[in-house]
Amino acid sequence: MNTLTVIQSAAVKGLPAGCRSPGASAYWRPEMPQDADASDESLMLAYRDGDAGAFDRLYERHRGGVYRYMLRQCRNAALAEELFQDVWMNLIRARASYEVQARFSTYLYRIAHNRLMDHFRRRDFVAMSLDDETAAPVEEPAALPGAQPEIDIEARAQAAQLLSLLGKLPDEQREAFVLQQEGGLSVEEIAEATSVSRETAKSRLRYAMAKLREGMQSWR
Amino acid sequence: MALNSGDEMEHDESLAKVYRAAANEAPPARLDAAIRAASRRQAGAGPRPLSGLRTWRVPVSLAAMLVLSATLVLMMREEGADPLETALEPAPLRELAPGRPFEPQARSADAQAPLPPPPAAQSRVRPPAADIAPPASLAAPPTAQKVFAGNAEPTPLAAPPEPRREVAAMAEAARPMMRSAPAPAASPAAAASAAPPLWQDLIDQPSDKWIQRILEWQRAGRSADAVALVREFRRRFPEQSLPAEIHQP
Repeated sequence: MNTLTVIQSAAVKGLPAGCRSPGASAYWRPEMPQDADASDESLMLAYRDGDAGAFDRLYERHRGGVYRYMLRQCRNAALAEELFQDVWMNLIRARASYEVQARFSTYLYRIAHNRLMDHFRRRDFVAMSLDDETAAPVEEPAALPGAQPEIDIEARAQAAQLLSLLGKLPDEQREAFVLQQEGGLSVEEIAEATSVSRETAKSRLRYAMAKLREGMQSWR
Repeated sequence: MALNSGDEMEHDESLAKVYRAAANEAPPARLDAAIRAASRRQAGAGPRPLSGLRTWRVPVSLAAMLVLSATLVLMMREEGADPLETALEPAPLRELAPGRPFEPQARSADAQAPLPPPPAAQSRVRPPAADIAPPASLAAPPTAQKVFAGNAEPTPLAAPPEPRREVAAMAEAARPMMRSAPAPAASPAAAASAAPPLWQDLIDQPSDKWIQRILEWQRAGRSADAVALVREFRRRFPEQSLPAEIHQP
């Protein structure tokens, strides 16, 4: 199934493009308003044509995902904020030339990936170091809403364990996992957003999953 | 897609659930406000500058294709003009008196005469081969005229049927050669589709290297390659704008 088929099938079902029907898959789209029926692509086209409100809706849908992508990849809150802002500014600047060639999420996370790579190239980073002394510590997850205290404690510990494991993954593997979770990207879309082959993206995702599963064995 | 096919190697619902619970960071409100304000400023900046171009892209492309095709056809006709085709042109027919035998050698001399050539002959660039005497079997201009004129009125110069058959046979024999002329152009295109992309060595390079290469190709006159590179650049770096000196498709 290609990207356009996904977009079209989502439109047929009356779902925003990028959101799967509840039974189809377990993709998670954070902060997706339940009453939103316009696809990301149509919102971006509307914004391109001058509808500022369309951008607000798009931003609301993706602000958390893009921010967390930056935070996980550079592990520095101040830097993540700077890059996050750049991504959206780049999107705003590129609006005039926007055309639907892929899912909007793929487009957006490609911009985010490019910005991140650009940053590290400029700073002569060969790789994003996990031992960076300036890196902010992994934040403790906030209390889960509606959870009982003992469950809350366990869930928080579990979440902290996962974030810790995620931080130890190689950058590319972590990126593949985060793109899947935050952007709802498929293997093909991860490959597209990160400019690698499908097989490479698939391999990265599999390694990431295997390591995270192994690290989370005690919670299963 | 692998995820849709339920490949658990690439997706784990329990991990996703835990991650969902853990991932609750959000950008600060001041950033939200700054970005939203910037988006409104841009949205109010006026109509899209590229909308006109986008509207006209298809008609302009079609017109360009038509012009290119017509030019190619004319060029092929010019290059393909051989003694056979030249001999079949109706121009000399007017110069012949009904009872006068056909004398190809006299043609160049007749060209100096005040008689204007027909419009078709005027518009055509005649190669030097036009003055070459046609084979004896082609000494039947009226028949040749009929071959090309289709339902033209028979002229008093109607030739005997023998040469007509020969001319038709030669013209028929020439057709496959003319048809097969463009064939060699198709094979390099097929070979190119199997070749690695032009930007193979740029895949891991930053955007400025791409821009540099586009400019190099444009300066070197590789317009088609440069256009292809611009398209790929836009796909890979949607957030980047190209310098003004780059001719954009």
